[in-house]
Amino acid sequence: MLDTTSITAADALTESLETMAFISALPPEDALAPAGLAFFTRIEFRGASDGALELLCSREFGHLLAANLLGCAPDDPDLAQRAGDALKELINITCGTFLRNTGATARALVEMSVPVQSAFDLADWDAFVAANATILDAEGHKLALRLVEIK
Amino acid sequence: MTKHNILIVDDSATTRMMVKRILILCGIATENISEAADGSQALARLVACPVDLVIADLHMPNMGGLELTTRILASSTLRHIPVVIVSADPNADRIDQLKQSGVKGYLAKPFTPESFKMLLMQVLPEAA
Repeated sequence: MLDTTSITAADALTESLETMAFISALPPEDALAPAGLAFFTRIEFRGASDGALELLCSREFGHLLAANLLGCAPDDPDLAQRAGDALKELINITCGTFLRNTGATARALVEMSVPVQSAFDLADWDAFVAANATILDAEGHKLALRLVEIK
Repeated sequence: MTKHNILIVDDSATTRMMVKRILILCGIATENISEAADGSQALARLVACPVDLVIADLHMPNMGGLELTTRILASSTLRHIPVVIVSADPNADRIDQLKQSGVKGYLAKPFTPESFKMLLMQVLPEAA
């Protein structure tokens, strides 16, 4: 059940990226870890079932997302500051879309948490991906999304 | 085409910038776009400056979009100002509650500039 729902979560991420940021996301050619520093962004939801969505991506992808959302040039100096917020907005929208698509809100009121974010060492990419993550290639940037059940 | 004063209310500065950009992309005629980080700040701005439309998030610290709408509607000097809620909240029951409380429009994220424009055209028909 988790795997199927993870696919739905990846669908929600793809839909959110395309609709809000005009970024296409496709299955990647390989699962190799991206280079550089990374953002780990997480949002929890509680309702008929409790869980969390966790997104891992490079800082460069955060910059691309912020640039597309805000209509800035890719080298805009403010993007470093905006990238984290843009990713929090993305996971918030993805979570809402995921919960709507799975019909979770038909069974009970669902509450979503405020997204939290931290730096992530990409040396741990393989361990993150191995735990039911779906990998996507968003215009040359690898993203890993996973659904975590909270018991 | 009438130009409007629009107030964007969201606790994320990045999201406020994003909504502002979409307003511009939509070709909505604006005189001034102002911002507030929560419902309390929004009420202070509404008292101080003329506003024709409020675009607010639902969940914010201090005062969210639902309470902001309720307070606007309770004020004899502000109740003419339409409120549109833009949120990722997936709960249909909560959206029904918003509509019953007097919110003029609700748009679920993610949305396209076209759907945003369509909603604003319903609320401010002379804006584009």
